[in-house]
Amino acid sequence: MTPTPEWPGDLLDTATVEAKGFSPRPFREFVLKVHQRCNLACDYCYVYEMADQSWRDRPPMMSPGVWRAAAQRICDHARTHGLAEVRVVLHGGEPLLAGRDRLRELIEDVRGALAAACRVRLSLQTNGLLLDEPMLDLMLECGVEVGVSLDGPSEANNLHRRYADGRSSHHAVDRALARLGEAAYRPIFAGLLCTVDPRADPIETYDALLAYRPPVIDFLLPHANWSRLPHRPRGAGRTPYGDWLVAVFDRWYGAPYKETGVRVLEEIINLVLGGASRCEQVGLSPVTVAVVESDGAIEQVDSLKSAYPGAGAMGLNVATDAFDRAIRHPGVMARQLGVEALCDTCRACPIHEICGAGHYAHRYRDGAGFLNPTVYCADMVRIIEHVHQRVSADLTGRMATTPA
Amino acid sequence: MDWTSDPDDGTEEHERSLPDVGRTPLPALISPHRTPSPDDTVLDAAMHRIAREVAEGAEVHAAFGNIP
Repeated sequence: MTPTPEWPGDLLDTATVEAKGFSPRPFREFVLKVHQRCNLACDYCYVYEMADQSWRDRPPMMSPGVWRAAAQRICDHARTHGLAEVRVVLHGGEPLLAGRDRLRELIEDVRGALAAACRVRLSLQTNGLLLDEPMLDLMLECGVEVGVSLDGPSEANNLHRRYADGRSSHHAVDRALARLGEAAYRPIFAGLLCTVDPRADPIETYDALLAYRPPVIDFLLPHANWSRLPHRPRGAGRTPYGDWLVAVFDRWYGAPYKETGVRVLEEIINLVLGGASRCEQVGLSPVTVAVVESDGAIEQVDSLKSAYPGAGAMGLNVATDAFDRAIRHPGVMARQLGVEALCDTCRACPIHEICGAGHYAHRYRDGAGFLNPTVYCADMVRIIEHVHQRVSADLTGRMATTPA
Repeated sequence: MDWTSDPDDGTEEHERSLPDVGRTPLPALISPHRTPSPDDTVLDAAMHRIAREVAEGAEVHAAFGNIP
């Protein structure tokens, strides 16, 4: 049986799009899958627990040959497009499983290759289990910012973030965050990443994360789509994720001073004020992220692994292909088309410029592709309308008291 | 992971379009040259950000309901 054509892979005519004047944006953020394995077994992980299982066929660790080829391709890409700065994210699996010696070698190679081309901002996203003092010293020495994944207090974190044998990971991460919060390491503390579960109390979750004094908190909706629906707790109402974010918004926004950044909420406010977004969860700004897997494969954003097997694949590899080949891939181009990449339902929605159809991975439906509203549509409307109402009311008050 | 999106094109040489602030009075509420304070509220910080982005050449538009 012939598979149904899906958008954008089978249906977006990139030549026609370019002929109409669209010019692909260069990549600015490069995610290196330094290590493909993990020392946790989180049950919501898009790498191991969802549709794409390609990690099984890739080398557990990225080799020096692959990261050097990747660094040279990034350098070439930056030069070709005159980029002033690129961001390189060390990612996994769990990147710290690579060990300090290998990470030092990789970081030095990447910095060395890019030194003559542009500035490079290096960061690392970890579950924190191996974030001991020697590792933090290395990151500090090498100027690598460190983000840590944690879902809140122990009870909330234990809902999903456990070892393979079922043990809680909270205590170990708590210790690591205490170290990262020390004065010596604070300059490299990038922030916390928390996946929302409506069963967890939103205020307790926010306050537990805030206790680590992170510069920013990222709240993510768990990856789901129209063919693999999100978990909605019984009795939680029509918009449990939106309600959860509203509670966090009110706690955060209502504080007497700004206690920390909450990225998705800050981006919604900026969009409500008429600006543009700098995160892929909301808005219509172009996404300029490329992933390099441990075998050198150049792929689209890794969250697509939640949609179907091979969703992020482009058939390209840093050993043989420049990143410029990837920016003309339909899947990459679709992330840069703004409103042109929205379905008719979204275009007719009054908040589509703010919502931007939500997270791209959450729009997927088997047999149709990504030309759909997000599966969290009602939740997005709930949080965006709430932010709009509060910000609008406050601004109206300020306008009334501001001299013309 | 929550990856970034990039409203600007990343080149320092990029010639940005002139700011279009005529459709919204928001940037007038706070100066981009004001030094942010630790006592700033979330809204203060948000206003400062958009005022700074406008000063740097970002186009601002009334995205939703022509606020305020």
